[in-house]
Amino acid sequence: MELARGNRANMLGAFVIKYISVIAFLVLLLFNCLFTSNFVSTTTFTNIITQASKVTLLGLGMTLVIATGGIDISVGSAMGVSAILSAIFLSDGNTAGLLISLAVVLLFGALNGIFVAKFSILPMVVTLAMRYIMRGVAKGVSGRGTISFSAPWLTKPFLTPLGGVVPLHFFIMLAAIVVMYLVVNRMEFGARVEAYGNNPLAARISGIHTVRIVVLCYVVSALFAWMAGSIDMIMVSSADPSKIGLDMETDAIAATLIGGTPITGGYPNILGTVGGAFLLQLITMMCNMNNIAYSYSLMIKASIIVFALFFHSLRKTKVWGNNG
Amino acid sequence: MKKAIRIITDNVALIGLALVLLTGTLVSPSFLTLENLSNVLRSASIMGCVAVGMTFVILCGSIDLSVSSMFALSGYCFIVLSQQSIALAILVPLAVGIAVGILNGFLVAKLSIPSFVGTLATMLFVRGLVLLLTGETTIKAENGLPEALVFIGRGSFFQRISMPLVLFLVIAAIAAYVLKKRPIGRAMYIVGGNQEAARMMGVSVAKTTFIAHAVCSLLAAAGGTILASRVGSAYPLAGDGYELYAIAAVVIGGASLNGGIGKMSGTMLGTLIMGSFTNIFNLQKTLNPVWENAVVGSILLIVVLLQAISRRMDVTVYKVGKKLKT
Repeated sequence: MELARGNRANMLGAFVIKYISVIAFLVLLLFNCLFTSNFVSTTTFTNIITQASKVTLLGLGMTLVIATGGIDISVGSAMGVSAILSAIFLSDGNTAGLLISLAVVLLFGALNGIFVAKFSILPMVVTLAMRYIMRGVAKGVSGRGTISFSAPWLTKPFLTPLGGVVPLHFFIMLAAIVVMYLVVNRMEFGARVEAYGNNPLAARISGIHTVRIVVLCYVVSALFAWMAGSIDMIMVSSADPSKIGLDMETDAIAATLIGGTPITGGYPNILGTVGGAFLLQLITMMCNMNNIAYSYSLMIKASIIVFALFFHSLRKTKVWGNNG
Repeated sequence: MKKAIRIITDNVALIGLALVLLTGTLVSPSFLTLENLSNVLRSASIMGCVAVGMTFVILCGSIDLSVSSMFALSGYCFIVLSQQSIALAILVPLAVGIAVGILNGFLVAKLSIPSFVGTLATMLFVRGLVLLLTGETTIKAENGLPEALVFIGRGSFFQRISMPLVLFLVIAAIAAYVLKKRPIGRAMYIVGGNQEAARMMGVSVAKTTFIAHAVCSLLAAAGGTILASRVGSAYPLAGDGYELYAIAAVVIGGASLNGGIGKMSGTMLGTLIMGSFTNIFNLQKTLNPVWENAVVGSILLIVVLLQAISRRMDVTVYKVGKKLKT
């Protein structure tokens, strides 16, 4: 009896901890609905989804990478490369170019993975170098700065929300979330990623093809960066190589860490990341609505990252129980 | 083949320097002039301060991404305070540097946050602070800088030996002495080499990492101060990309990013290579300047790749029984 009650409390606690980012988002949303004037409107809803979709997409990839115990700070630059290449092709009226830009970005992602997994170089250093390489490629191939194009058939669906409320981003994002959730929680791949993140050596000994798993994670991260970059570019019908995706990696990392994926590797908490991305976006929106400057939002983001790490590290201690 | 790779990785700094000097002479006749070389040395010295600090952190097996923001923050403090007092203008930036270093050390050593995320957060925070303080514009010293403060960045001895170079050599010499002779320096090698062993030997891992981070930020602040004195203004985005340059200089100097391996002389060679490289890049006409960081990134990747291959060969040599890799 005593034991059962303890167990139930533990399970509830574990559930709360696991989805703390989603819960925090809902609470903050409710708070805003009640107390912020002019908050409840379809524009707000559309804005949150439009803006959170980018971070969510990047976060999904980042979650896999961080779950392997790595980190990918090149996703922002990957967005830049994808946007610039696609914009160049689109400005020539060449739609197939989108696939070429996809291939290039995936190649960079695969390179990241190979350096990390095959040659066991620190993920931080590989992706730091790659971050500057890709930004250089984006600036270099554009040559003349911002590239504009006109492709109304592509731009229009993104700019006209379905029924005036739900933008196309929402469906792309939803599809990505569902697919990633199923891949991580229902397929062997997710279990292997988790196993590798928990203990790389043990995973290898038990016959998991670790190099393939890790490379795949970085490729998926690059894939989502391509999607986010393309959406960003299509929305404004132009691409500025030095601006697109700049510092987006920190948002993605913050979303993932708030979501509760352990930075040292382990269970990739997809829904947590989604909650984290929306929470982050809501906080950014609150900053904007209250005219808080960009410089403050950087500092707030830094504090959130540290706080999230600190909060989730409490989980390891006895207080919260061990299974999160 | 294996032997060739071994020779290359063991002398990567010297080979790199030879290559860089060779390309320099080929690219532009003005590269190997006394005036240009003294320019190279001066600009390399400023970056070198950051690299020396980064060496401490990397030796401990940690990393510091916040040096770029720290660089900008100290420059801002220097320019603003130069209007008040000479002593404050020098001491406050350095004190701020130590404070940020202590914050880094606290996050990494006390809260056990992995260094790349902890210092990434510090990087964002300090950059936000700089943007806030400067109002996102370049700050100029209203009444000009006092003579003594200008001397830090622009002064020179015997025409060619610039003050930044002298400062850098002094800093590097002290750093080399500490690493070689002082207990705290030796402790850094032990901590980076094997934390478990360090703990058993009675070396405090937390304390050592803490000090390494404090020193790293302090030296980044010193670099920022020298640059601000040289250009006479504080640019909110100053130092952008310096973390890449510093890490590249340290790694080219033969340090291992896993910690425990590295020498101050290597870092100085690495700094010289990076400085000459930047100079050559500015002299040449064929490649657009936007590629510069990309090329530095590629160089860093190639060097760490060579390191990794040579490390793998070591593993193969010492293997007992079946080969087991993570």
